[in-house]
Amino acid sequence: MEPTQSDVTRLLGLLSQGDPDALDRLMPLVYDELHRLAASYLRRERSDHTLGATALVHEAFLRLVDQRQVDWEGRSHFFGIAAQAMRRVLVDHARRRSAAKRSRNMQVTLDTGADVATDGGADEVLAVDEALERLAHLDPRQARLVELRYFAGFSIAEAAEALGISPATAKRDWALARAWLHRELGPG
Amino acid sequence: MTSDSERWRTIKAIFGEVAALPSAERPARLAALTMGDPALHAEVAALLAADGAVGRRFEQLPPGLLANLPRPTTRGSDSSTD
Repeated sequence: MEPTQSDVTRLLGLLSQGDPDALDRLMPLVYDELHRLAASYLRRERSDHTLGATALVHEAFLRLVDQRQVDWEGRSHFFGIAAQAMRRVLVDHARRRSAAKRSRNMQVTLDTGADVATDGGADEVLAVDEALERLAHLDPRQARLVELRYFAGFSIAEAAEALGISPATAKRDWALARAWLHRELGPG
Repeated sequence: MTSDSERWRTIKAIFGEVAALPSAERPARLAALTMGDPALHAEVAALLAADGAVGRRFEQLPPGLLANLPRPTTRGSDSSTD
């Protein structure tokens, strides 16, 4: 059943009041909506267009949240959850794609003896996802910042607002996180 | 808070302070801030080097990751925007 605006809006209200179950109930609703939107983008826009994660997250916000009934805190919560959900959508896609590529590669190698270039896009997303698990142990907020920037395409200013930190702090945290990712993943 | 996350906070503070300096002033400042801890020095130095090398990597998702899915043989357009 499709979630209604009032479900998500009400759950965001409960989350702001500190209800621990609200997050667990929100996540699947937001995930499903983003997944659905991503699939319909793919059908409409075909293969010659880069999908904008930011656009999807904002569209999900407009569809799922009654703007008259959420404050800045509810917005922040929503975008944090949406970035996490977007990460899952993308990682799930990348896993499937990477698996498909592996089986195609194997076929081509058998047929021609040539190797096919690996799929940098899917591989990078999976590697960033794994590295972020480690970063979350060192600094959970910094990991969420990367989630917002990389997986949801938020600007420094938007990510800072969603995390309730100053843009200067977000900028510093992002610079270090990016350097750390670059070192963890090796040359791209 | 684990000792790893405490160390990360130290790394973060030193990285932030040194990265804000002109590059000529960095080595001396880094050495002063990490005196007596060669592992810390190496760690922050490696991160500063990575900061210089990272370019625009990770600023956006790999182009075409999702868009290519229906037709895996074509590349998505790289319409990078800020």
